[in-house]
Amino acid sequence: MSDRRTLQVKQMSGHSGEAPGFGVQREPEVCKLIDTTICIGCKACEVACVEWNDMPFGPTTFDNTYQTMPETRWNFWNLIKFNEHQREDGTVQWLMRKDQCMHCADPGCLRACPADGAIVQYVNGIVDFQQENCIGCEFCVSGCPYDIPKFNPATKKVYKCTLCSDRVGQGLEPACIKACPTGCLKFGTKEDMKYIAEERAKQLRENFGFAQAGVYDPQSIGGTHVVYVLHDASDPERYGGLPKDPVIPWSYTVWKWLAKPVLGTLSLMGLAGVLMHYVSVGPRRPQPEPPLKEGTDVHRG
Amino acid sequence: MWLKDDGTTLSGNWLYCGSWTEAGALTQRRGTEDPSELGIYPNWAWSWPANRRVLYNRASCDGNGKPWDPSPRQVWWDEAKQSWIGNDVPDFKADSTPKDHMGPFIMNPEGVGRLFVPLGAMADGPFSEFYEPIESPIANPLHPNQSSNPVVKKYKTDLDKYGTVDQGFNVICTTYRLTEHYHYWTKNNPMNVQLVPEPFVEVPAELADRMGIRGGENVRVTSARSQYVAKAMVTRRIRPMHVDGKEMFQIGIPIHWGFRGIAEDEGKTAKTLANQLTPTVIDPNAYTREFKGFLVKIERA
Repeated sequence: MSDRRTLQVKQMSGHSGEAPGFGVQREPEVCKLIDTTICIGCKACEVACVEWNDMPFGPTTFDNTYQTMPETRWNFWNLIKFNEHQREDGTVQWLMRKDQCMHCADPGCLRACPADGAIVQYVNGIVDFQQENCIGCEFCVSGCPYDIPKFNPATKKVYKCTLCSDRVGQGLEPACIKACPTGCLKFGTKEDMKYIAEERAKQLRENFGFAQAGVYDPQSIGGTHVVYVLHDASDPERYGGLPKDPVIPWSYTVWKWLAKPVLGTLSLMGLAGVLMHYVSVGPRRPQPEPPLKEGTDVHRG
Repeated sequence: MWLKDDGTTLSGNWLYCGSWTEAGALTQRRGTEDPSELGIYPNWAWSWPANRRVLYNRASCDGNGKPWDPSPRQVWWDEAKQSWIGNDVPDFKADSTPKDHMGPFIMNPEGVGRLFVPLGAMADGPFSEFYEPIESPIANPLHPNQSSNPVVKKYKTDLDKYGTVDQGFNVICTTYRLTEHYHYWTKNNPMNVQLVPEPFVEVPAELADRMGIRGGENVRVTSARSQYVAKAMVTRRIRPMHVDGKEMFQIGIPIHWGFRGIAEDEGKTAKTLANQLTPTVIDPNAYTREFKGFLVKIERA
């Protein structure tokens, strides 16, 4: 689903040393801008994603909402989350937010993944799964602060939005952006999208009475390559559970950055110690047998 | 070259005749000059019909062909050229002298504008009037003795019965369409069915509380004619109404399901149609049915 021939890799999961070809190519960071204040919940983006990625349809059931299903699936990568938010004065604000992989600058999935090259982050910011290297351990599922990667028990691999790396690698915009009829989805460089987002947030604050309007680009994970304009940036939770300050579970950080190097070093030292003992003191000598206890009847020899 | 009435010319849409000539596509012109300063930009694109920018513009002149207002001149009669000319294309027979008194409203047979509709043009003319639908919770405040349109077309079968609030039909019902489905054929398409799998009835939260209806549970909607059974979508987006001092509720039913379809064939629906509920009462001019406003009662099924 990716295009490693044209996109430059920045970091790979479970890989020692630098990513191959590092520093060969410069690319601007891309960004998908989602303006929740313009989204009409038409689901054209949901359909475009399924169609472009040739994914099989799955069963759904009515669940008292217009939302297609409760969460993304291995074969359904982008989902509009609906929420009827009730304001203090009793009026209802029907919020709609396109939920998909956020392509974090500091991806939790990549940090958690133990398989070499199963998760790749390109220089342009796209985080992509390489299913051929995936071992199906599902660590990425718990490493992700947004609950995005989903496991397919049949293939034993994990799947998520690729930010259409195959299209972006050829200079096209992602399928969802192409399908959006209102123009609430935009694609371009991170710099440009942030500029447009901040201008729109300013317009919402100054002209439309949304005093808390702002841009969602959480620095707690170094920023994301999917950015939202929200009516109320002080409460992202109400947009279908968007975490306010997402963090990678600390256990993965401790494992990868502390436990793994420390315990790895200690085990190497232990191995070296054994080797040195063998070389200096010698191999295991035959041990004297312990004295027999009085009254025991054991055959010797 | 203009359309002729002798059968030698052919036109798919006479309004656009003359928009593409030997000079090319006149719709792509970008002339920004406005000699009359009336906002008539005669060389910007092309306006149907015949690049006229203001219809019935002969009415801007008096009986002698002289503009009522000398400063913004749209069109006028030029005695020397014996023709109507101007800053806009005259919406008039070019060589009809003012003495002939041809009426400026050339699309009406009588040549003048209409304050009311002449005999026979509207079934319920001559003036427009506000009527209540045949099933309404109130009497028409303008004329309670004739609440609804006296010349609506009705049928006389057993099913053509109408209900009142006194008979227990105390909930207003309307029907509409979804973005995710189209008419009655997308219920057979797996993609659309994945987006919205089952029929539902949108019920205001306050009404649901009163009737003990919970989201996702089946409800039965009954009109004087038939019944409709589907799951309830309990929502805060539909607010109670206050009609004539009484609190009334409105429910909404998307139309897209019927006897056959993916969900229907799997036995997931009651196989009822939204239009079993609606009254077959037909507007006497446009022939639209009164499917958008009628009375029902609702209960748990």
